[in-house]
Amino acid sequence: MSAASRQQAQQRVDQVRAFERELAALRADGVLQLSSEQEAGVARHHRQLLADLASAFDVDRDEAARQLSAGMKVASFLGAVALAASVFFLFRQFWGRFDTAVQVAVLLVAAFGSFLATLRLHGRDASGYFTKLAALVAFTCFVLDTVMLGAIFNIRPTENALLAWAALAFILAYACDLRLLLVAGILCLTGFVSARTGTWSGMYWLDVGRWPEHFLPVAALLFTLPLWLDHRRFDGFAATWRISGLLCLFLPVLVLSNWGDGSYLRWDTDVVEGFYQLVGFATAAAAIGLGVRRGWNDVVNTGVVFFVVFLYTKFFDWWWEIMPKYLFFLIVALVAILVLAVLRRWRAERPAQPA
Amino acid sequence: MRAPTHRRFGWLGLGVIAMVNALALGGVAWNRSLVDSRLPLSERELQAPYEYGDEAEDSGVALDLVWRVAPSADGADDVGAAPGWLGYDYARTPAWLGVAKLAALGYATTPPPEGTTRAPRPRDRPAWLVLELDGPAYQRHLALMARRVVAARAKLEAAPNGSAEKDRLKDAIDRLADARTKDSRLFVVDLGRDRDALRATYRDRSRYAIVEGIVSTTWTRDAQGPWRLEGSIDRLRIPRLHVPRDEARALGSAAHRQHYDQAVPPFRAVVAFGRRAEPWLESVGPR
Repeated sequence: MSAASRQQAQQRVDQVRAFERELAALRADGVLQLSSEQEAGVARHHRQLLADLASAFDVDRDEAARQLSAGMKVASFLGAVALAASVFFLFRQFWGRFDTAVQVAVLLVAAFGSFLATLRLHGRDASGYFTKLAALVAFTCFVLDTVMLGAIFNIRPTENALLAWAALAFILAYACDLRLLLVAGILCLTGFVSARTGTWSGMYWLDVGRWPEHFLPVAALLFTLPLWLDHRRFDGFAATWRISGLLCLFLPVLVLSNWGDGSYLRWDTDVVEGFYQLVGFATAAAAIGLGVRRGWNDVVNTGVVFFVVFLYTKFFDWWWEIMPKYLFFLIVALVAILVLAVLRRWRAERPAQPA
Repeated sequence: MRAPTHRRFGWLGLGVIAMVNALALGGVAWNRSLVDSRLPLSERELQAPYEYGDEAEDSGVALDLVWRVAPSADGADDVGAAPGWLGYDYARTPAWLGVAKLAALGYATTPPPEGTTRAPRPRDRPAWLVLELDGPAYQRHLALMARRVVAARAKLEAAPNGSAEKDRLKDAIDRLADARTKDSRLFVVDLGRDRDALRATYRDRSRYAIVEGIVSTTWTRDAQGPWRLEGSIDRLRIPRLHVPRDEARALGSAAHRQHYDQAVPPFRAVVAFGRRAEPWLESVGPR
């Protein structure tokens, strides 16, 4: 057994299952017939392999298990969010009854204790679902710790809190291999970098949301981070960084392509909106091209989604008022079919990737 | 390799939690190591926020600092204005917040070129605000309210049967009474970027507190006239004070507010402002 991560282990299991199905098909077609000794040896090897992988990585051994896993993922996410909310409201309900020293002690114990409990649970929880619950509670306790200390002692709000939250979220994400915490960390980091970009221009940091361009610098940071940090051990982390970077680019551009007044550019509003529409199309096309070249499906898909969104936004601007609605939606549908045909052709022309 | 990496993350996480809490609590200790100003406030300047919806589940108690600015113009001839607006500038645009002060805060004050239809968007900037308690600004406000009663009385004498004139006089009298007994005596009287320079000008530390606030601007004009820059004091950076448990008990029903007309028992509270201008409640008691 040589899998280093759950994803690799699951790929190995899928490989074994695919081999079994193909072997059965070849046998049925009379193409290949293994001796009973060979079949027994292969079956014995695969049985041991699957048992080892299931024990070490909690993989799905068949389709039924895979469907149950999908349900468990949803349940663990909802459970994690609900438990985190419960912790927050529990503290809010009772904190006024304690004196300041007890309040601070409770916050510290909750932050440290939940973090240690998460790490301990991770060592015992092969599935990762309970670790996800515990990690989100630990993150919530830390956020609660900083927010409540700020409220108790009337500390002036600062964007540095976002950096601290991002740091702990990343530590939990990489320690426990949890994409949910990675997303939480990325959101906090995005908020911090954008707010700091604003304060450098003398603006109050909480004003950052009114100026979408503050989010553009962090887009480059998020997108390129997987290029200089190896993420092979972490399933889906590199794709999460790249998609986050693209969202930090496309969403502000989409907003500014419809709301020129929100830009720092002092041009006429229509000119600003036109400029950002061009930027949107160009960057979406560039993302598709880059994704195809590097084999990054996440980048291709995100680029396609936003290219279509920008296109539909333009269609709406041009035709919604002047065209009968049935014709408008017919054109939208035809464009979608065209995009489908282009992507299908790309897929057919791409050389097969080696395993 | 898993166990050592796991242990490293563990120490890193504990280090982050410890460092953040140490910085926060250390900052509090440093802030409170020196009192920059100490204001004796009352239920007029400290009000519990309204509790509605799930706010009632929050067992913590806090008080909002209620502050005002002097009207943007002398309203003595403003008797014709609708009741409810007399003498209180809800827009928070004091007359002394002119272009020079906004320029000192870093705002670009050059008007947009002729023919511009789209003015620059307003931006919030932090600034140091001078809060004055029961000082000249409050006295001028009382004098303005008294002048309005006199003016309303004169108008009623000129039109004794006018119901609008009677309403305005009643409202002016009520407003004067509120100004004397209920409304906040805390006024923002100045602002700037240099806290030390402001403190050198406003030395009385039992009357003037220098706190952080947020200033906003907007470009405006009349019809096709020239653009002009208007500033307003948007909010305090720390508008709310936490009330520790024992002090909350001393406040009694003043700690909870469910509706506007709720009678609040009078109390006296001493609020201190520290090195970082972060406030805290030193004492609370009946007045």
